[in-house]
Amino acid sequence: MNSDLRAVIGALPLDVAVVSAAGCAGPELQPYTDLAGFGALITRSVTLEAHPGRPMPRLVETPAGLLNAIGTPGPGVAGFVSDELPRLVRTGARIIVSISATTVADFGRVAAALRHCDGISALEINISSPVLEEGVLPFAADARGAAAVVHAVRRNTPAAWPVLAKLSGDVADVPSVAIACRDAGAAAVSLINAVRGVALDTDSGVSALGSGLGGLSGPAIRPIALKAVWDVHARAPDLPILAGGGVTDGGSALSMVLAGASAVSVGSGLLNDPRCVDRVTGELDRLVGERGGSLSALIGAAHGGSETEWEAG
Amino acid sequence: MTAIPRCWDAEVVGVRDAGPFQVLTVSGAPGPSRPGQFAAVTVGGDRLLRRQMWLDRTVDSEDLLEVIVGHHAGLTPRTRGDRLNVIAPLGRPFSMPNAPLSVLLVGSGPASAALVPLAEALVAAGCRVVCLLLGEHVYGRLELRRAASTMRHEPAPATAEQIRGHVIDSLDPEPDLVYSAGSAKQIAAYVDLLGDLPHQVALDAGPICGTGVCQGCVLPVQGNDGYARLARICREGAVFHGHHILWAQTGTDFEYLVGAGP
Repeated sequence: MNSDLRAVIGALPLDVAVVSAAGCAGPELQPYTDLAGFGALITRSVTLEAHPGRPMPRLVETPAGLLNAIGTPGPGVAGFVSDELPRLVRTGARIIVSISATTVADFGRVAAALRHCDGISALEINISSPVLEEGVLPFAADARGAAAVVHAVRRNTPAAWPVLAKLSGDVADVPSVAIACRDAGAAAVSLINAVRGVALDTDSGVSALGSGLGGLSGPAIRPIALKAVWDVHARAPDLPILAGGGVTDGGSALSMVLAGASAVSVGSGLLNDPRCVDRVTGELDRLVGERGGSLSALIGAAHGGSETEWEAG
Repeated sequence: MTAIPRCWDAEVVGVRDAGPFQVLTVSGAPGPSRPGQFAAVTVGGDRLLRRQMWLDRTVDSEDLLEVIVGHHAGLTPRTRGDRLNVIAPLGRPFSMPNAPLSVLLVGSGPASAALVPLAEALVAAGCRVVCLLLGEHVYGRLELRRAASTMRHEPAPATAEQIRGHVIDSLDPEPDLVYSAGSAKQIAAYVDLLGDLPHQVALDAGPICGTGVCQGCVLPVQGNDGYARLARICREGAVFHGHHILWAQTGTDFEYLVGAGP
């Protein structure tokens, strides 16, 4: 490595500022990549009870993107603690556990069930899942709702574990939600979750996904993610941002850093190529090397001292 | 023996046209594969997911791999010198009979390509191989004709009843075992006709990540422990015992499987 790609997310130091996004890496990738070489691995979202996930079809390709309605399949927090977490820890990766729930109280219960586990470095709270029941908005749609979840999780989490709030990019005012999360105890925000979308099967005239609504990810949403990072950094420059949304190469990772991210996450890129984190890291290393060699010195550099938002014009 | 899968940038070193398919020989393979195994190949352009490509017969040199490519899958025709990113060999292979038995192969659509190396291996093992191919996009029409003892091709069965009629005809005389290839929906249309006959299936997974992490290719199966759970076609398959799949529930909500899942 030629450059200093270290990062700090809240109190969480990362040797490399490139992590895998929630649910996009696991022991399945071990034949192809060294998970211990990632900055961190964010687990699939852990829920209180076991869930089988959404019906098929669960994935549809769209131009430069993926529309998914996987749901949150998994064994529930008890099964995660007994089976999945030990397997993940054995990979040598730094583990950030993503948690998800449909009520504030259940977020607190999931956090409480994890608090005595070894091998966890931080929690990411998924309050922005795009695939919810019809008419239900994610907690991240609203600053007060988002803050309530952060409070509940923070109360049930060891002080040493930073809590990251994963936010949505398709809400009117992302910075206000981010600031509310910070004030409620989030050490950082993770920007952005998949963007709500629909694809239709033109033969049948119904949704191409088994559960109707989906979440769009991949390079198709990169500009939306970049705008969210830019706006949050402009309004809260001291709030660390983990940026994801179409990061598939060193250039897209560097863009996120220049807009204000402290580190980046790779999601859909890993579904295309299990070695994507390695490639992003290698390319980012070269690009940072050409710009002075320190990633942390480049955070928010595109703002040029200005803290004004880009307004739609 | 099959090799541990790896992911590599492969060069196309040979191309053979076969109707709507191409058979590509690519370099850099990690070792031998067996019938029923497949590769996950990138399509290129702005398409993020990979395509499931069945592996053809083992070629002489161990670092070469033959991949059967259907143009239906989004890959444009390839020429020598092209490069593809390949993950292979993937999946559980077909179990082979340990005696020269009477075998029925039923292929539906592009997945019929999975039956080509199987038919050759069965014939080499002394089996009597009867083949029924359903649908027009059938690589097997060209390749299986060489391997199968008896070959029936029904290009365009329009209804489920027609498909079932062809399967009933092919079960007389009754074979010792049956191998199917196709989508879960295609096989579900006739699987009940097979009764208690030993039955293995190679399933079309659709667009996939190829590692199992995306969980986008699941179907419900009955485990050896008696519990129903979800299995990933690309990870726990793509070959399954037909009697382990809960065929009636493949297109339904999975909420009845609380606690299940890969």
